[in-house]
Amino acid sequence: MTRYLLRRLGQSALVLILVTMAVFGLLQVAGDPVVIMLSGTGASEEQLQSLRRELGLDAPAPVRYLRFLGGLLRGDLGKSLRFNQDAMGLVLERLPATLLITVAALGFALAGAIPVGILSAVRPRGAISYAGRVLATIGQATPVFWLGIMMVLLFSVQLRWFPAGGYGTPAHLVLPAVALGLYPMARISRLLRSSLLEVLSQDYVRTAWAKGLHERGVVLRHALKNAALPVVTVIGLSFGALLGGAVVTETIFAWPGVGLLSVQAIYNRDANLVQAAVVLVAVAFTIVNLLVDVLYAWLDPRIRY
Amino acid sequence: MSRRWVVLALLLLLGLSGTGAPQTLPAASAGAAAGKLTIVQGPEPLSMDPTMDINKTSYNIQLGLYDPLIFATPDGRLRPWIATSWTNVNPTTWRIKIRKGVTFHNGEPLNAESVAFSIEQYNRSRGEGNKYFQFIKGTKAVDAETLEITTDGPIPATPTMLGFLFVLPKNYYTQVGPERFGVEPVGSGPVKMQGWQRGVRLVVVRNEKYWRGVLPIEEITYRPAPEASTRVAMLLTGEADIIANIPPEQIPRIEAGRMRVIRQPSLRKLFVEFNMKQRPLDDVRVRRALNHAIDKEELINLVLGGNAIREIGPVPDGWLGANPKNQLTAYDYNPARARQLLAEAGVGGGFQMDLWHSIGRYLKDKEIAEAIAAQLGNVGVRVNLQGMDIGSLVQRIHTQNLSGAHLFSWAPLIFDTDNLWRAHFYSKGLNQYAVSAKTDELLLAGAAALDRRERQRIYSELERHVVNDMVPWIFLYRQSLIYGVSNKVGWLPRADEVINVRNLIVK
Amino acid sequence: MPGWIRAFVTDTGGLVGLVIVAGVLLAAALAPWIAPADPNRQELRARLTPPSWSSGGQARFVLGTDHLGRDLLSRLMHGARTTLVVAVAAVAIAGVFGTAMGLVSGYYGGVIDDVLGRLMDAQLAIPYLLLAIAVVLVLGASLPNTIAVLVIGGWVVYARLVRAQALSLRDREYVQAAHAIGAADAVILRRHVLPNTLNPVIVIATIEMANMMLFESSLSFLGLGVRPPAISWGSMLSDGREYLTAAWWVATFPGLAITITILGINQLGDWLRDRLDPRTLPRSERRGSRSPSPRIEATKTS
Repeated sequence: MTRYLLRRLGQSALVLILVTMAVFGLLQVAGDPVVIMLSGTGASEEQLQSLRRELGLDAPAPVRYLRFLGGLLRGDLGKSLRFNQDAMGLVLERLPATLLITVAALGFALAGAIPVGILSAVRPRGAISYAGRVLATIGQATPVFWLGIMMVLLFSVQLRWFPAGGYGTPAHLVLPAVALGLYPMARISRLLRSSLLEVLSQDYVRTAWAKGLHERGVVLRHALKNAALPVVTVIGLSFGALLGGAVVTETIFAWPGVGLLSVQAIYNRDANLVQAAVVLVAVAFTIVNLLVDVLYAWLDPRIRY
Repeated sequence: MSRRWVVLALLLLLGLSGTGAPQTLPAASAGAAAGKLTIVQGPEPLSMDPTMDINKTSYNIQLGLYDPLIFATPDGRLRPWIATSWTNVNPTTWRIKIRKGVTFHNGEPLNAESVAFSIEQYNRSRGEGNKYFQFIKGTKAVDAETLEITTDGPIPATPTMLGFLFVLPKNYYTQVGPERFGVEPVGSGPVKMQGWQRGVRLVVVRNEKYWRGVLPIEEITYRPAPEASTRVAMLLTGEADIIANIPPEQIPRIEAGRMRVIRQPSLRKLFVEFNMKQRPLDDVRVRRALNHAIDKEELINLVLGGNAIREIGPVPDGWLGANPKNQLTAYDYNPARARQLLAEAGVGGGFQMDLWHSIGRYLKDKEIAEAIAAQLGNVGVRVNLQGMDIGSLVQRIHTQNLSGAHLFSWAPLIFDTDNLWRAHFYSKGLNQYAVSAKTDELLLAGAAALDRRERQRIYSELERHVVNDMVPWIFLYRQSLIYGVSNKVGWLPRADEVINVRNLIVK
Repeated sequence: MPGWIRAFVTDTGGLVGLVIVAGVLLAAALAPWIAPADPNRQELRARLTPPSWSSGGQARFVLGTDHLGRDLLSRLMHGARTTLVVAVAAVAIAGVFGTAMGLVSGYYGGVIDDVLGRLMDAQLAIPYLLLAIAVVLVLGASLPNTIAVLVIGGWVVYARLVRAQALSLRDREYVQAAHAIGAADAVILRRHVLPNTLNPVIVIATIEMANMMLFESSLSFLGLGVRPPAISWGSMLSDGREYLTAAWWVATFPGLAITITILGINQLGDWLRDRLDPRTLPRSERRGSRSPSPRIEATKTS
């Protein structure tokens, strides 16, 4: 197990290098932040060059990448070009908002997906299961920005239940969490349904059934345990995807997450800030999935690494 | 419970543990109490250090935190402010008198030394402010109230340029350094920094000792909301009192919610810039033809819902060099004339042309580009639309020799015509599409002409040359700024996209 | 009547899905002939004309016009083409590439598997949307580039799934036997491994189709979708969102088109899954079981 962990960590470091190289390369091609900063101001080429020199952007790209790697080893990702602040600090500052909405969205998704998934497997023709499946299908078939705008119109402007945008109180959390959570909810409930259907058809469940246990007991005690395994995996993966990928939701609800920050950094060609965000998200993703792997092994003795 | 659910619980805990980070500010409900306002702009401000970040979002806040050395208004007028007077002692030296008795929010006195330091700090900056005062070669505080600056050659625009200089506290800035100053700024303006939770809100409170009198507003909260429909929703729900940058279609929503809409023509002029080095656009008849092919009124009235003003030349009204309208060729919509000119130029059968444009930067930019493409199609020009984000577009415009034409704009930060010329018509500038030996000669002559009337003469000749003979652009319009304002706010916005807290009133 | 047709008729969900998908495909295929107007023809003076049945509507614009006076119905039909081409091409390319990667990775194992595995990890560790934005910024937004971006983000799902399958298959007796009698790797992969992985790939592909459509609309929302004169439902929806209160039809119809089409694809996908994947069949119809692969579910959010 320890060896496995060490190997995985070593591989993760490799992954991190790959990721940063890709991002660095992309940003090189994406262009020169100084041109964007001084466009329309009547600046001359010499002034551009002197600002590039000031910012250390005049060195060749490989040199700058090595500098960046050196900094990474020391835990220093440099300063954001446009904020003029420590890049890592800027990203860490957003992490609470990002984690909050991720957890809330996944919490919402699970709260909906588990009952719907179970009911639609056990009583596929029941009213609740039907309603749940309709909701899940719509959640999976509607662009999230559309959903978000509609929710703002209905729940903020019409009904005045929740604020339209911003961050700080529990009320601010509700709409973005629901908008973001509907898609994983749909996904998880469908997954749960199909894995439950499979488990329910296996011998030991049929045995339990034959023993005359109450139906609900059968489902909960035996089937759900096994059906949960793939769900846990999906949660792990969703977690990673949500960490930096909730850009659209963050834009609609003015939510100060890592996603919005990194998109703006990409638009500004603020290389250090983009790198910091990507490194942080990659690390978080790796940790979460490592955790999932380890817990998997602990849960299921058949899995060996 | 199964152990599998323990995993789940652990994952959730992992998430929650990160959310306990301290928050610097309590959640404020917008505009609840009297004397408090919430202003919602699109993007979030990046830095409060004016030498680092001069984006409008940040500049709007900085204008409250700091005082400019001279107060320049978008009509090109200058008002004594921190500087009470300025004189040109010789062609390259200016003597500036500094107002007595002004102090910064931390009590530090504002004097000639502060101003000298501010100029040097802009010139040392590693940010957007770096460019503007490089023309100043020396600063000298003669005494506490007198500053002498020397410029790189005679530069009559110096006072107007200094309208863009915010005066910074030397001791405090040197003590905390640029990084902390950007977050905990100290100025001499009518409001002072209260707290900033980045990406969420920035709060300023009024400076009770402001030298020009105390503001009627106690506290202003600035919040970002990148999506326009969310900003409108925030205004309608009372979360915001002023919202900026509203697309025209949202106006009915605001009016239906019994809020006010303020439309203010801005100084941002849009135009289509040609690549005059390429066939067939190197022929001035073709460029004239394309000017005639565009129905600007239709663009303004239908695509923009009337939220723009037709423009026929590059120089803003009232500025040095602006010509009377009858001196400039207006290129009215005339497709027959356009076809005739194209035929004369030997491209009567039409031709292919790229049109590069931004998406989401200017008012309805994508729609305008599509409408222009359709109008040019009517005279036989087949337009390939090339849309992208503004950053990529600016990169390409400035670093590549972009084929065809591009939809672009210019808006002044400094209210002197020299900036316009250098931004677009100077062979040593970033933009190389509309330059010639003649534009260089005239703009350099104008920049050094100390006599105001002489400058006016040179600049107006330059404008006539550009519009009547050179025709490097399709001259379109200047777009309006659309704000939504709640009923408790009294305010008249300015043309340069700036929200000046000094003009705000709460009812 | 063959069994599968009977199944389709009796399974209403699948039938509904088939009708929807077939309808959209037809509209897309026949758009140049059946669309009432040129989808890019502007008539600025007729902008924001409501649908023909509401007051102020005109018979020649059945679903009304958009903000530049273009016929919405024609744009929807032509938009179906772009939207489907993007989704189908992205799914097909990502599917083929990902399947190949997964096969090679799972079948050969060792260093190849390690390298490919890390590549997949690296891919998953970068938030997809950020990657997409960066790539579109660099390459520019065009139809092929949009597809490329979707492929870059999409192939890992298939690779992971197929890798797991190939891993379990390569130790099966018949594969070992083929090996023993000297069959070439390529032949073994093609004849024995690939066919056994195809069904789950097809199931994932239908889910991914819907995903790609949603993703394209997210890109449009961020200003990075296909650009004019190409029309996609995502870009129509995104452009129309600003007119919601002034002219509901501009955004509502493309929105409905997306939702209904995805519903159809999902129904069809569910039905396919039930047909192809014995795990979810009623007990009486099961024919042997396959090892479940918990990691096949893709997760993408925006």
